[in-house]
Amino acid sequence: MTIAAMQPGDADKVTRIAALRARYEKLREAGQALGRFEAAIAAAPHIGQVSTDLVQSRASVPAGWYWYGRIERGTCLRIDNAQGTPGVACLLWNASDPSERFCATDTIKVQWTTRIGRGRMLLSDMGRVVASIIDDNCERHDVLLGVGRPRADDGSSPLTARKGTENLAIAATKLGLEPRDVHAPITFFAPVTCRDQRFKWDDDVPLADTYVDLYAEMHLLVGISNTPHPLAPPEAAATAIDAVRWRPRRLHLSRFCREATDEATRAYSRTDAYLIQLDGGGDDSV
Amino acid sequence: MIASEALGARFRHIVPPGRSWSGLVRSGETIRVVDLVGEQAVDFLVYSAADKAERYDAQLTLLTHGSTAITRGTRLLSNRGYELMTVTSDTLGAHDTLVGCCSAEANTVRFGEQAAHLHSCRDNFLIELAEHGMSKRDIVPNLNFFMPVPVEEDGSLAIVAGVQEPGHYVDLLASTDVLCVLSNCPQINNPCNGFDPTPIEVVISGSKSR
Repeated sequence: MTIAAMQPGDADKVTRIAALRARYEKLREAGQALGRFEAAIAAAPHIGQVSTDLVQSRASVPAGWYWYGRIERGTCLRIDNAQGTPGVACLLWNASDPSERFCATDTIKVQWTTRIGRGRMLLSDMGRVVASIIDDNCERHDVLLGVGRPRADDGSSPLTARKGTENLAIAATKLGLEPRDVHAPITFFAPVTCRDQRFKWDDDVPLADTYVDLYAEMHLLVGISNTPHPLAPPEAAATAIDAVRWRPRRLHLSRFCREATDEATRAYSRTDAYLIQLDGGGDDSV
Repeated sequence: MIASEALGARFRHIVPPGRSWSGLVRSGETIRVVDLVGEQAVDFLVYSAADKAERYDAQLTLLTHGSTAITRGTRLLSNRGYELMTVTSDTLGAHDTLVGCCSAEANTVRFGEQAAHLHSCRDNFLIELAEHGMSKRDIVPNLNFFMPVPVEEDGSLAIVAGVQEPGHYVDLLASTDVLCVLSNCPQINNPCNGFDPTPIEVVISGSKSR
């Protein structure tokens, strides 16, 4: 509202708006001050090597190919990028109700950053946490630009080269879903920077010997396309990755994520309430 | 009002604060969204009328455009790679397609329990989509007109105050028959509506060739 448009009775409104604006600025300041978040993730141990007795399954996913699977709540999916392929796109759904799914937009908006890496939560469209990034030695992933295109050098013949979107559609439908369930993915191992409103691939980020560990906060369906990010430079070779499902010895591996920000505390507690309801108790109407 | 009379408007509608609208825009027609009062975000989705599984794809649009600056000349692409609409006029140049729509659920996470029972764009989208036999699964990352969201090099982002001037508008030319769905954003927890939602106007102008 402009000052010129004010009526005599508008003083209360001005006061209310000023209070709302002050509250937002306080939330923004807290959300963008990284000290507390960084301290929380620095104190958490890295996972490192996963011992073989914890591994439930390990699948090699060739360059240009896809993977899909079910990840039980409280277990992990490691995407192991030993050879450093430049981008692996990933979709996640709530297995109990796949209309709830990873929401790229809320994930960056709620956490005040496009840098979604170790210690951050992957949020659903329902304000709940589908998965936590409990470890990640790359820390450069993209949620803005989506999935890659087929490449001449990915080792596949013209008959087998597919678009990443086609891979994701195959993965989704083999999980029993429909094409409209395919949503905006997160692409791991994709160092994209936004500078002066333009997108740039950061060549100096090492991608070999990287991995991410996703901790399932609910039963998940997951689809993956191992296709390079669309901004990956042509000389960056597309290579195979491993999709490793593993069961941690300890519960609550994501506790440090929960305590890292006020937004996280609220999102995890909403997720707890939902899971209690799903198990037959409680109430969760929002 | 404004230049829409000269364009030969076939439809015009004021969307009250916090409310929603959807309608068919035929190939060759232009829809104008007018921020009547100023600093009012408008959340916008577009689907192919022939097959609503073909829908706006924010990621492909950004990738092809190469920039977060959605403005005149930006092509709104579908998940199948086809052009649904093109931005043909833009008096403001401060729009977003990164951060999606507000919802009761995300508002609760962002702002606390006191935001749980406020109207939101996601609920508005659901009301409109239901009219067309669609559901939550058809909601994808949307456009936010008149809502600047600067992204810094370190990745940090925030919704910042818009422009307090009346009458800014965007024109979108339909490349094919499309269903447009919009929410006149009810949000009062961040600056996207100046903490005080106001009305907008939708104007559809006929194709010159028709």
